[in-house]
Amino acid sequence: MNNAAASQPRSTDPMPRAKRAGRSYWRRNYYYYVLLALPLLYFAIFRYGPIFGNILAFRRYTPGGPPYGTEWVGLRYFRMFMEDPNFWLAFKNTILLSVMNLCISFPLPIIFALLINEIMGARLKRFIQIISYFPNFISIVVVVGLIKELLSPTNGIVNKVLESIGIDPIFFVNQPEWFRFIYISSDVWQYMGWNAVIFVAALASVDTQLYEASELDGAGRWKQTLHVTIPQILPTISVVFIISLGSLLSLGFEKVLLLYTASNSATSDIIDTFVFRMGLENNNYSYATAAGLFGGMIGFALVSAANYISRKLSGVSLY
Amino acid sequence: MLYRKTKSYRVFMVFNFCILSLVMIAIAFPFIHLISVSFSESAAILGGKVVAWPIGFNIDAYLRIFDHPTILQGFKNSLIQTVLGTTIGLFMTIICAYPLSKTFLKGRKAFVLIVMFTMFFSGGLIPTYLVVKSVGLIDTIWAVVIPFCITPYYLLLMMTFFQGIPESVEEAAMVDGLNPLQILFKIVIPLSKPVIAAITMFLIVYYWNNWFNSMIYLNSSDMHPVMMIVRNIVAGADLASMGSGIGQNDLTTLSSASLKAAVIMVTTIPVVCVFPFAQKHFAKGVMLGAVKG
Repeated sequence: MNNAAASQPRSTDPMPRAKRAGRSYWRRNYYYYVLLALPLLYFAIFRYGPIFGNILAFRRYTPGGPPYGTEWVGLRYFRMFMEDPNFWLAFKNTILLSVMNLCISFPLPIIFALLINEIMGARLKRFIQIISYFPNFISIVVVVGLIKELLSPTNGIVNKVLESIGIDPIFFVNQPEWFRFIYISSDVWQYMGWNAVIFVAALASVDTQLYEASELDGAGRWKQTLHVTIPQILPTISVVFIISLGSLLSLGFEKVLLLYTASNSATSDIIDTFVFRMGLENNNYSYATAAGLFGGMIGFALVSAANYISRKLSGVSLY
Repeated sequence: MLYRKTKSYRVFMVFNFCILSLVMIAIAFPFIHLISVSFSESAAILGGKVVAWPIGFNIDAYLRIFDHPTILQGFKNSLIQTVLGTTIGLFMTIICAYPLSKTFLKGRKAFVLIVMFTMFFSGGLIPTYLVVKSVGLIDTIWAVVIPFCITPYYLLLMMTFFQGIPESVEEAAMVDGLNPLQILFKIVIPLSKPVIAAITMFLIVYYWNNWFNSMIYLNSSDMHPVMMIVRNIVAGADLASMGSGIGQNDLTTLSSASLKAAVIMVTTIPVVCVFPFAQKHFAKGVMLGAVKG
């Protein structure tokens, strides 16, 4: 009896132990969930809304109707762009431009970082870096403005130089054969310094003992670079490479759009500009969504594949 | 560092300095040239005499810009968009990153996955446009401010930084009776100045430089930011109307090249101003931590 009385408070407790722990978890932590509410709403509407909005690719859109279309039409729009030679031209241009850009724009920052790393003076190093990554913060419009001014056939400095050595002015920004060169070289100009920042940081964090040890073994600077420096920054290189592969097909759409003219479209029309023209200029929303979705899927497949391969080979992966 | 004394290394260093100097020149030249053009007289520009120094120094192009109502309105619009966008973006990123930095939080993993996924797969141009349209933001300033306020990459950057703050600091504050909200605003944010400065800089640059969202979401041109005006000038569409805005006959005395150059330069100045303040915070830790996180 006494015993029962003593244990009474415990046995009448309506909450079992586990539940009580759960309750105090919520009491202690509900603030965090309150904070997350607004961002969750944001992601639901503006990030996942468009992702689910991609079903428009399989549905017919009627002006004034809901954003996800009014009736199912299956793969109709996919068939339509598959049969459109302009789409395949844009597709080919996208692949070519991306791959060429990756081959040139990926190694250059690493080489640039290695060169900076050899500079001893910390101030000089910093100065070079600051100058080199400044263009990263310039608007694409301004970059294209610079390109067009420098390459202008009437008063651009490039054509003035060509003129002085007896070459007729070239209308660079209007000629399809120059488009890729202009795109890639301006990309290098704008992003090389910024992309090198991460490699310079990785190089600075290499353990100096490794260098001392290799020096004792008689390795020169070149051998050190090959056998110490590069293996040490390889994880960073892999991560950056996966990221670049993942964004391979998301070319600088704004720059291409600004450089795009009817006369250079043979090389400058990419999937994104195709989608833009079809969707927002011609109002073929479903058709443009289908083409855009196709490009997005390929991009996603690429990053997954790159990530998988990297994880198998070197144990480095993003997720 | 014995290798530094070898002859071949010295030869290499000479080459290295030459290469780096060339790179510096190649990076800086377009700006120096454009600045020179913007201050030069038209005859010299058309004659191809202006290289890296103004010829026939004058500031007419700049005077005309600051006399131009459309461009001034554009500056105002850009300023509003940038301030609003940066404030909202920073606030949203912080209140999202802070809870996600707590590893004990239930459901955290799922949320991080939700965020990560949007880094690799986004809705695409048209569905995004239709969502913005269907929530009624078209032709309001919110259309260029809200849909892009959280960048997943910056979110991960901030989250990684928050995770680096020692737990004991927050635990001490909790013992003092502060709730997580107070801890965030009184302790965590003041401790996170470097990452906040860096992300603020990124956001300011993003909103200042952006023209595309204004082009597709804002129909009325009196809401357009200055970068949209630059786009029109670069595309060559607005040059005639620019002349007419300030008296057509001016165009004969001033080459359009110097006007274009001046507009390009003026719109870049704000970025030049913010840059020195924030660039010291692009510390290696911030950048590297983000990629590893």
